[in-house]
Amino acid sequence: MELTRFEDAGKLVLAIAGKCTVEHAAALREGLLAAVATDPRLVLDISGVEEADITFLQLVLSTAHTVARSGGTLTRHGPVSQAAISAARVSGFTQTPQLTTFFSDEGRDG
Amino acid sequence: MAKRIMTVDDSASVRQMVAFTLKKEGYEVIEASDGKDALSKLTGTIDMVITDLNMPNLDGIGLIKGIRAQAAYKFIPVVMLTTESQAGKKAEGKSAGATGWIVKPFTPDQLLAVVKKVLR
Amino acid sequence: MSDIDPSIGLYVEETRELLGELERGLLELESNPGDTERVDACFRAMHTIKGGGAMFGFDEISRFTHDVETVLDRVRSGELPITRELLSLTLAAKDHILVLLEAPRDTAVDELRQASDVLLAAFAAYLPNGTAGHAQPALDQPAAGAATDDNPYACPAQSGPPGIYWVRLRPSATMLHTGNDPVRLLAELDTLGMVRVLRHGPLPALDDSDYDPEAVYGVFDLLVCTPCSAESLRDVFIFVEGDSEVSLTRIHTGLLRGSDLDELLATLVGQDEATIDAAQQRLEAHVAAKVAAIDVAKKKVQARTGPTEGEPAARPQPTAAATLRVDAGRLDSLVSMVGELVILQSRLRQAAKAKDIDAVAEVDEDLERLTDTLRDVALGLRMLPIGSVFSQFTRLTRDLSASLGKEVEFVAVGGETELDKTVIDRMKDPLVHLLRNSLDHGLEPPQERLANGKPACGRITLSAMHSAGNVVIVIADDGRGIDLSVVRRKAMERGLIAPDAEPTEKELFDCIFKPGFSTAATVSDVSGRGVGMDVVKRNIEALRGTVELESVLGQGARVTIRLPLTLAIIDGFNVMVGGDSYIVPLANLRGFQERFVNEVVRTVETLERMGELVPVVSLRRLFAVPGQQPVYERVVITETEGETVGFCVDRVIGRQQAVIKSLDDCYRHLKWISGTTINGDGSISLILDVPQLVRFVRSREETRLQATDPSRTLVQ
Repeated sequence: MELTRFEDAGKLVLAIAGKCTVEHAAALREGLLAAVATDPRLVLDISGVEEADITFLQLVLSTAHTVARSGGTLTRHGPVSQAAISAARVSGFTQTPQLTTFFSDEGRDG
Repeated sequence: MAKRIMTVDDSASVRQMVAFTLKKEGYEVIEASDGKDALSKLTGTIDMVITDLNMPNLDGIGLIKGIRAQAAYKFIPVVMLTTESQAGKKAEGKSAGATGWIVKPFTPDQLLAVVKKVLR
Repeated sequence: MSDIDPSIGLYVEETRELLGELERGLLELESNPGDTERVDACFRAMHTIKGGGAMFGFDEISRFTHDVETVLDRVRSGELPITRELLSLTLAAKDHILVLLEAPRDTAVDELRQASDVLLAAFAAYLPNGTAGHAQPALDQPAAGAATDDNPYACPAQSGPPGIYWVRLRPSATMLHTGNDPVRLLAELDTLGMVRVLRHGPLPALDDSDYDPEAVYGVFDLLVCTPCSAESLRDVFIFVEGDSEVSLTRIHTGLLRGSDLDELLATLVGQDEATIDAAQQRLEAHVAAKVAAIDVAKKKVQARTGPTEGEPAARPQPTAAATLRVDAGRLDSLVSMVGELVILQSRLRQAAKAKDIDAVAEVDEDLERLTDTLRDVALGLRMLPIGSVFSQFTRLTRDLSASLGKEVEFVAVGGETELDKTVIDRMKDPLVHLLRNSLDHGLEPPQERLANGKPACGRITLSAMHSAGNVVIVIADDGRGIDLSVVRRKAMERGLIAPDAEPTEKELFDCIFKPGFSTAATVSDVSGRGVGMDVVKRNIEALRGTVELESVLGQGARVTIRLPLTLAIIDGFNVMVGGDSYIVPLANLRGFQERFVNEVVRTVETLERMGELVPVVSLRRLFAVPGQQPVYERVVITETEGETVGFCVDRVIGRQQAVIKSLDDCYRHLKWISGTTINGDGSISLILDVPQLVRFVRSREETRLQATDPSRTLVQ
């Protein structure tokens, strides 16, 4: 798993790529925590996610909760990778209220 | 990239059948003759382990515990080969951290079905 | 029945397409039996049809296709050679599947089964010994054998209607530590049926010190609509059952649509802590309510369509495909343009707030560009390749030529040419008619061809291409051509031309398109159907198209059809009469003239144009437009069916692209209006139906000529 931070339209984008599996869940959580602390309107780029398991989906959902607490909606930079969308679809995360926008086309912010 | 599966069994014929079946499906296979041999070969990328339970030196339960103790292999699928009469062993294997099991005797198709089921 | 379950409609649509592919494949195999890829494709098509049949309740299709699939599989593996007989039989099977597919459900099952059995008996000869009599799909597959070849879902299908199961998975927090993952389990379940998932239950906040990134949280409630057994579903969770909470309950037998499952699942929101029993009671109550509602809807549909028993073999009403398959790329670009639209709107708002007129103008420019492309893309959604119809013609010519004892090579070119779906649907009959004509009247029998120094095998070419905003379809044959002297004699006999007239070639060809004209000496069962070329012409004109005929005696004939790309948009000129605005389609427009009026105007008069007198119609009089008759009028010169007619209007505004809105049924009697369009300023323009108007003028003129009313020529 690889984490990259960059800015787009004045917002912090955290790009998550590679194998987003339980082996890397702790590192991903650290990365997300740090990013939300930097910019509560955090934008995620998950176009490079090659593998996604339950830990990845839970972390994205939890991040969405956190962003929502500061009055925002978690949005996305770039498309959703095939691995991420199929994992989210079969497990109902695409239909979870805090994530429906994120996984749909409206959730794309750049 | 082909997934790499380790097959552990003291019976060469079972090992061969497993290896042959998996290779034909395009998997990379590492063979080990018992638990100890398996742990010594446990380096680099290993995506899954299929192990017999009754083996000399280190048995299947021991091997599973050994695998789970290593950070790199803590979460990989480990499938044990059991016989119908080993119901107790099955529970023991599960609590040691086994992902699932295949009941012996099994056909190549059954083996592949389980591999596909647990390998992500 | 598509009112009940949209997924069934999708299956029907998909199967129709597959059957089309199958037919194409079989016909190509006829000329090229060694094409193994083609054989594979045919087998896969049959395989998919069969699998879907079981899932969507087309049990007879599933039963029938089983043996056909087996036979195709034997062909695929080289056990059976491809013969003409086998291809014919498979084509017949394809037709039968279509009948089964389109037959109203729950009706005339016996007749259809008998028809299946007759075909199956013929197929039995191709089955390996001893397996004839369509083996049931093996039910004793080992559970671990997972995906079988006989089923779209990775489990043996049960007989009987599918079931709807409620699955609740509460994964143990440490599931990942045994190498299992709920996502993987649910992905496996997803292959077993139509699945809807609700993920709910607790999840710690990201910054909660209790958050264990390696733990699994929450509950998954799933509704699965599947033909598979409960055991197959349970097998998914076999490795986690002891540690995680897994419950599986059949809550309904029969199909429900996806949206119903969504609704049912929504009743479980917030019930993640409820006991299995409590949640189950809740779910079952909602299922009962849903099923009752569906029954009512079903009865309504049945009451509307009337009893369907008693006419089993009658062709069911062609269910004009209500769904349309759309190229994903087109949909993507549409979505991205909608995105742009949203951006433009926000730019417009900012500009409006800032009262920045330059910025508004900029947005306007961008918006114009965007709407142009958006319109093209949106219209493109309705476009289909005409090839889907062409392939049906391959079959038609094959069958017809056999029954006529003629040999023919049918060549279709340009099948990828895209055309509005409605146009394609409505072009089918005219094209069939023209093809029949070519085969029946055009092509000579083999001996006659040989005697004339032509190859014994005739050739009919059907081609389609784009040309200047139109689609041009040409049907050409190398047959005997049209004997104009015969046409002339017939036309005179029927009083279509005056006995002393000297008609030009074009006028004679035009006669063929007149009602009541037929040159066939004998009425054969191929083209003697009482439908003449006049109907073909009318159909094509109804699509705002034109048709032309050319022929060289002894060398063949060629029919050229020009059609507008789409029915939804028309290019025209906007003209005004009084305060009313009309659109004259550009396809009919030939030019503009003017006239001065100093007397009382009649509805139809004549005007000199390029040395000829053409009739002109006062739209003001015709439509009784109130207001002062101006002294100076513009005349819009139009041409249709080879006739030139002018229309007098007050003003010509300019060229306009009009999006056609069809008239409400209550205005259908307004023959001269083909539709309306809404202008940029919100006003409405009426689109003139020029052929109808011209027909009106013609009849007016004839009455007038008979009344020997001296026509007046107006000074220009």
